[in-house]
Amino acid sequence: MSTTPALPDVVYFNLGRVWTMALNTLIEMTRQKVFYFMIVFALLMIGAASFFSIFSFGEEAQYITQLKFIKDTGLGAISVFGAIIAVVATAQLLPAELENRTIYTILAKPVHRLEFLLGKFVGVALLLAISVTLMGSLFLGVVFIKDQNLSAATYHETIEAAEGAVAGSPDMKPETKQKVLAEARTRAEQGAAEIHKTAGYQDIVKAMTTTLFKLWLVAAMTLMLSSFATSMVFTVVMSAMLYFSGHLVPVAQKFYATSKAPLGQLMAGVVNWFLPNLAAFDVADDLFAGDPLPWLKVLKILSYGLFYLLVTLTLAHLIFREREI
Amino acid sequence: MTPAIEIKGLTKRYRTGLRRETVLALDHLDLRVEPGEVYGLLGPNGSGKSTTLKLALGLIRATAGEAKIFGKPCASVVSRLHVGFLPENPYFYRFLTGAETLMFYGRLCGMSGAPLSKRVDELLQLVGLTNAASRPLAGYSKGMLQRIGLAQAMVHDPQLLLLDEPTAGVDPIGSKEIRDLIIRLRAMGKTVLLCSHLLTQVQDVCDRICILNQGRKVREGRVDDLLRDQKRLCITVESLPEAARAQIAEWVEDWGASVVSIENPQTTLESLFLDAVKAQQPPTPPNKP
Amino acid sequence: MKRNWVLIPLVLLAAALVKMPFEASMAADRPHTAGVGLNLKTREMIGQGMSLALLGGFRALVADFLWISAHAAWEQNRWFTMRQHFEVVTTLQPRAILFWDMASWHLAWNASHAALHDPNEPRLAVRLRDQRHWMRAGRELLERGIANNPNNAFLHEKLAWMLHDKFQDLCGAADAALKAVQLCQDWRRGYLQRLAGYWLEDCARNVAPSRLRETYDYWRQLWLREYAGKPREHWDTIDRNVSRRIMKLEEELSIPDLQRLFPKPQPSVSVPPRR
Ligand SMILES: Nc1ncnc2c1ncn2[C@@H]1O[C@H](COP(=O)(O)OP(=O)(O)OP(=O)(O)O)[C@@H](O)[C@H]1O
Ligand SMILES: [Mg+2]
Repeated sequence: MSTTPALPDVVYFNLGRVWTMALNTLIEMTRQKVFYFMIVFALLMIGAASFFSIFSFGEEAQYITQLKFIKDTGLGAISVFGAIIAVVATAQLLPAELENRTIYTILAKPVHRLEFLLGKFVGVALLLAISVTLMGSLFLGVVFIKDQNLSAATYHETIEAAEGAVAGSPDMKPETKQKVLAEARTRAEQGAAEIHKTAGYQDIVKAMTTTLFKLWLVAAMTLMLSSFATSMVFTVVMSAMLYFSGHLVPVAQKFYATSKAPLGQLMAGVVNWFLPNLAAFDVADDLFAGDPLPWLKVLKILSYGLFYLLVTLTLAHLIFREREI
Repeated sequence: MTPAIEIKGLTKRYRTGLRRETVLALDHLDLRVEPGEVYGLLGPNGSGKSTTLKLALGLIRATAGEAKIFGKPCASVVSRLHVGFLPENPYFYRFLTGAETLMFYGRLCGMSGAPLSKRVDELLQLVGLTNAASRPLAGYSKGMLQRIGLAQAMVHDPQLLLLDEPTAGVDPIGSKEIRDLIIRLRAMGKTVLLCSHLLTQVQDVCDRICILNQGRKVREGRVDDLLRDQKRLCITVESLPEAARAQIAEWVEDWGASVVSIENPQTTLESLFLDAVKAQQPPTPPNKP
Repeated sequence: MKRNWVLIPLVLLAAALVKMPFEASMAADRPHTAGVGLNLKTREMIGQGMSLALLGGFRALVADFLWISAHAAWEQNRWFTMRQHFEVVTTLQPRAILFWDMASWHLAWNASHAALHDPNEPRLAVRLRDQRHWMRAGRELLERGIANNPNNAFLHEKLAWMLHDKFQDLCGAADAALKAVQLCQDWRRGYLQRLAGYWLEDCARNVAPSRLRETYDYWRQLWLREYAGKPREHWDTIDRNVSRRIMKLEEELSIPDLQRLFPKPQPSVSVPPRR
């Protein structure tokens, strides 16, 4: 009557369970109204678009300034909101599981701790990807509208100026008139094209892609910290510090090479050797300054991100599998 | 036959705080639960019942000793393939409904599709939550959470159930239902390990029990055996006239024995429990390394 | 637990070993990121790094708002405030070409002009000194911009104009323009090439006669690269202008006939004297 089940020797790692965990994590976070950020973002973008267009700089190429300001607002907000989501949402994942003791019921099932941990990470990663995509689409839309407005205005101004000149000189030969107007049209098209180029859609997409990978890495670092932390405040503070120091890696490298002070050198060395270079993901400034960055090199940055994701998650796993729950 | 649970010399020392103070929660515990039996783990607060369960599930690591489930070491995921666990005061994702919760746990156990939905309906029926199936758990009462916890533990139809205070917070009717459920599970050949304070309930359903105190096993055995007082005898008679009572008392004293009481004497699990625990008083201070 | 004391340092070490060459290769792709690889002062680098770290993504936006404040300061002639804002703005966003360009122009042109015509300062000597002060400030800022963006042709061109117009430094302007030519890739290149040539020639004729030969070589190469091959009938004003300059230099430097681009007409051919 009573039975002893026949058990296999091992239970293999299973992506299905990771996915189940990930979706559950995603639902959990969306119900916590993380997406309220989106509304703030939308207001910010619309505000920026209208604010910067009423602001006049008295410069000849105003479109450069206007587009720059809108792009700075959009990319800045995406990166900041993203970082806040990446740190705060991730930092509370494990503490919430522990506090609500939901983790007991999950790990009492035939679930590897790695599956649990990866599920949590993939959930956050999905959330970040969705947020960045939503904010990014909105942002690109605003840039597109601005681009259309500015280039249309430039185009018509140029054409109208030429037509005015033609109309103002009645003794102009018809062929000359034709020529002047044709030249004006070419110039107007060039001007519009120049504005489209300044809008830099591809550069924006590149910048957002690298930003997303940076956010994933930040989330992974936060998860790694919370895999041994006992307080959420500790996790948030430490993640923020890692975030800042990660951006200082290039400076630390330089400092390490040139500094004479032993203590400073030691600190710079630690940062240099053990922290991922988060500044490497900030490509917007370089792109907008006109330094070309072909997709292949963007891919190199992304693979650097993947490499550090692997390192960080490995560390998180090593710590978490030993953790007492 | 491979025991459902086999625990040998299991010891757990918790570190507390920054100073190197420790709490000895479990002290060389040996335990063996055979397949098909209902085993009760009793003990006062802090005696190490929950610690035993957590060790058996690999949630924490033993300081010494080992625990095996169906012959597999408890640290391995394999050992959990046929285990259902109900933690004490269970608490689930507040944002999921009852049905969603069960679906989630079912998927974690590798179930999916129609068999899973069917199983979920079955379980909701079984624990009496069919009407609340589509309400988020945030609005569940304590007893309802306990029921959904029980359903969750059974979702993949495991052979072994570890229940930490399954009737806590459940009303008397529900508590009776849970007891009946356990008895039914035994009839189906399942093994159940349950922790409880509610002694009468344990008495009703358990084949064997073990009493823990301060991390040590103080009694173990079949409920019937433990409750039988070997030195005392209880004769239950019907319609004995008042006069005969005095005669019997005399007769007993002639044999050199004594009559303790003539009313219906009862040794309950309750008093047994108290005796066992009192024998160890006063409690020792926290262990230092 | 004990395993981790070995495994974690091992993972960190392995990561560090991969990280270094990886980062070196990424830095080679982008030589100007956060000033690494540039000869910036350490203090300047740390300032940039800190702003990057602390303000994170909002760095650019903060810079934009300070830029607006700087603009307001300009409108109210508060020059020192304006300059302070410029310092911060360029530290926050050292790669924004617009900022370096506009800020240095405001300092070298507007602020210096205002100082020279300060109605509250009767002494001309003081006003002249102040004018020089603002010009130098503009130049220093622009040079810092170039240090941060060494490959930007536009900033080099701006420096050339500043040296030429404000400092009357003909040779400096020529050198800056030559640098701009080297870096320029877009349609401005044609115009920059000639500008550099004119200014180099100005430098050689007015300041450094020893550079006359260099000027000749420059024009010659430019001619061979850009203008040669066009039949003389199709020359436009520019072609004629450049060729005339080359001929004049060939004469002055007594370039042997065989090496000249425009050899003298053979004496055997008799040219009737002009009247
Ligand atoms: N995480 C922990 N850290 C430190 N000490 C712990 C921890 N968990 C349990 N203990 C201690 O271990 C001992 C046994 O605890 P356990 O939870 O196993 O008791 P229990 O028998 O389940 O009690 P209850 O009936 O109250 O549920 C207690 O003294 C408790 O204080
Ligand atoms: Mg307990």
